Amino acid sequence: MKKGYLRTTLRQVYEIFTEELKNIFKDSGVVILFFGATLLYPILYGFIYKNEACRDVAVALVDERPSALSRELARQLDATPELAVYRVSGTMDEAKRLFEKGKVKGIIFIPSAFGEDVAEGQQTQVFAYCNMASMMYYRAVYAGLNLVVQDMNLNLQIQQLEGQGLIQRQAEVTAQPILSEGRSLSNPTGGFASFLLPAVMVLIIQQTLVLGIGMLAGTAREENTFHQLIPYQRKYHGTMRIITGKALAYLVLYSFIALYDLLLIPTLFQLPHHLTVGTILPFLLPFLLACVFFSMALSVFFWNREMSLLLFLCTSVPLLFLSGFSWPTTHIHDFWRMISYFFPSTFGVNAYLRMNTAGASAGAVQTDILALWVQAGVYFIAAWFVYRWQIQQSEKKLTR
Amino acid sequence: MRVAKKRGWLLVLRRELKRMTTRPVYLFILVVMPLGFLAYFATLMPDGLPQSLPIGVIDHDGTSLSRNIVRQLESSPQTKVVAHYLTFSEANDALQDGTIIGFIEMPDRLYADVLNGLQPTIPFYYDQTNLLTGSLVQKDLNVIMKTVSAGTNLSVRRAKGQPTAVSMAQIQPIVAEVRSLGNPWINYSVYLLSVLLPGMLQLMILLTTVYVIGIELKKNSSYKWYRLAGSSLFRALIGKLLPYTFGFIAMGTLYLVVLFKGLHYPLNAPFGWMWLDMTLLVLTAQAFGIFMIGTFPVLRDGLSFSGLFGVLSMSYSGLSFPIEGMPALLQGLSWVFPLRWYFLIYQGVALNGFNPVYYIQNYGIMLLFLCLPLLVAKRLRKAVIEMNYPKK
Repeated sequence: MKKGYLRTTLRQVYEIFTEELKNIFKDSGVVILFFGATLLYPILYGFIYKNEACRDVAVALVDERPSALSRELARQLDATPELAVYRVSGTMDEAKRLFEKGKVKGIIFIPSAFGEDVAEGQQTQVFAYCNMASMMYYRAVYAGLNLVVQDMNLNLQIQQLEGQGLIQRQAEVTAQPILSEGRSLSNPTGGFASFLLPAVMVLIIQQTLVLGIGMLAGTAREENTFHQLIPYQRKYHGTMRIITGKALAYLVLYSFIALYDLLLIPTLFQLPHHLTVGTILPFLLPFLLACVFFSMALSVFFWNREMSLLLFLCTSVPLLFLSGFSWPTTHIHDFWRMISYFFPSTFGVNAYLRMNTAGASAGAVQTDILALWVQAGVYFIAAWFVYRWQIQQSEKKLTR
Repeated sequence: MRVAKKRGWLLVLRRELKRMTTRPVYLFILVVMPLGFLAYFATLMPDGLPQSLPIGVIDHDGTSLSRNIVRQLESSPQTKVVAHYLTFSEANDALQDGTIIGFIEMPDRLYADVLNGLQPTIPFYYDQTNLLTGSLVQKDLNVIMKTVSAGTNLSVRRAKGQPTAVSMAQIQPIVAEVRSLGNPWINYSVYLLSVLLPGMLQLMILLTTVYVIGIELKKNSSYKWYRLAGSSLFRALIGKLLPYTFGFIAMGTLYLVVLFKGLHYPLNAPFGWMWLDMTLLVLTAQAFGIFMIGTFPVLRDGLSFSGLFGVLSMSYSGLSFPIEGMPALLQGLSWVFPLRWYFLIYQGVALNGFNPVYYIQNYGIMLLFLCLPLLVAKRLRKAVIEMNYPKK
């Protein structure tokens, strides 16, 4: 008796599973989302940000009264990977013109007193003006100029100390009694693709699932007689079986898709990556389960095929920022942090970045992983209620 | 007959207004969502730049010098010492799981080595998984470590009786000052919001435009709509889209008012120039919407491709990553995104305060986008009349 029941259940789950797979592959709209977006978006972004950094940012250099030292400064600035120097005549006018035309992103101004001040042992200044249209310009100008000026200061000081009779080593030590050396332990080049792409890929998995499952649900409603999510059929009696069967279909497909997005793409584009097929599992399973059940619970709101695209697609960019990949979650307004706990992407992005980019173990991000399991559980229950309600609705209409 | 034909657009307008007021989804996409995103982005990042970023310290030295360095780290507003670690691997674990963003490791015999003139090195480490916080911590630690070294240098000189001013001139003969034009506080949200909000609005306009036209095709009501407009696609579109044009221009104006008047973001030009920029963005988005549904007269495809275009627009505005840093082949693509032109005008006129006249050509290019629907007019008319595309 018991054994027969189990066998029937498994057979029914399997039937619903294959049925759902067929539904997915029959629907070109869902195929575009599940396979087109997940496979092509990361490649597109990978190519856009392939160069990782913005090098040789054009700056105009205004040297009011050229001296040997100011010429050396200009030469060294041009030699930095960050900056490309365009020398202009001695006044600011031409530089400003280039700046306004967008030909240069910054102006470096060396005042006329520069050479003399240094020769006379007086502190002097150089100025940089930077177009703030992109944080990248500021980073390049700030880093390039500071690097060169610090180096020049050190050499000037050493020369000066040697002039006072110190031997070279003594002069070096006096000028720099303590050295410091900074090292980036993850994303060592500070690359932009390495920073943006991983977060985007995690988000794409969640978003395409919501949109795709929403589209399938909308279609089911449009096509069956009573505009309910689940058509009334004898064999679809058990809510649990329907949910399990459908969820399995999404889970199986997305296991492959996630491995492609989260493991293959970072390798392909040479982004920092620490995870392997074996180590990604403790993160991937709860994340996919949370996303699948989240999408199934939400699908009740999408009462026709296109509703998910119309209403949920816009949330992609806000959700990306809610994940804290850029502006840290600790500094987000409390209210929005609460809201962020509803979305699997919040914990998913953090866990994936910590593990894959920074190299943390699954144990180190257990809070995120636990949160994903909790979401998976809560959204499973929510999906169960939503589906049961829908089944009851169609039964009611059938008997009426 | 002629009069009736000319007034067709009014009939369509009335029909559309009735739809808008009877179905909640229109209220949602026209009012609730745009206001929601405005509230979200305007309150998401309360400070201009994140302060008190968590860092850690390993002190193998434990002398007055190392404690002094910790004090200097603690007094920096940008970072906050949240933990002391005993070993590198302990600190590294905390860095990996995100507890801290950077740490310094003061070597054993640090003070002794300084006194003996051995020029010890203090290594510091940071995590650039998050480029924003990583760079801020790197910059801050770098500045503090340089200050510590210079401070020691200075105290040695002072002990020898050298006046501070002379010492400073010798330690740091050249002072570099980087001034940011336009965004004086180097405020992160100024950047993001100024383009992300118009970008979000553009995306919503694209989707709405495609939806309101596409739903007619899908529900087989497009021919009726077309007839009502006096069999003129132009009038049919005008009557249908005009309410949204006004609605979204009003929303765009509200966005600008909140950004420039409410949050006092830099606006170095008369408001009217930015308003013109925003209005053109709304119109180009509608034009692109018509273009999309004309090219893909299946509602779901139209929405998918508009979504792709709208989301990609934000990357292609060049805000976070400049266009000239992209591979040459992909740089050319930036021309087709109205948000790119919107952003160029914004950064020139509002942020940097350049003469708006320099940007006339950018406004002109945005106007050109308004001709896009002409390219698909024939195809769209055929679809509207024959309704022969898949409904799914």
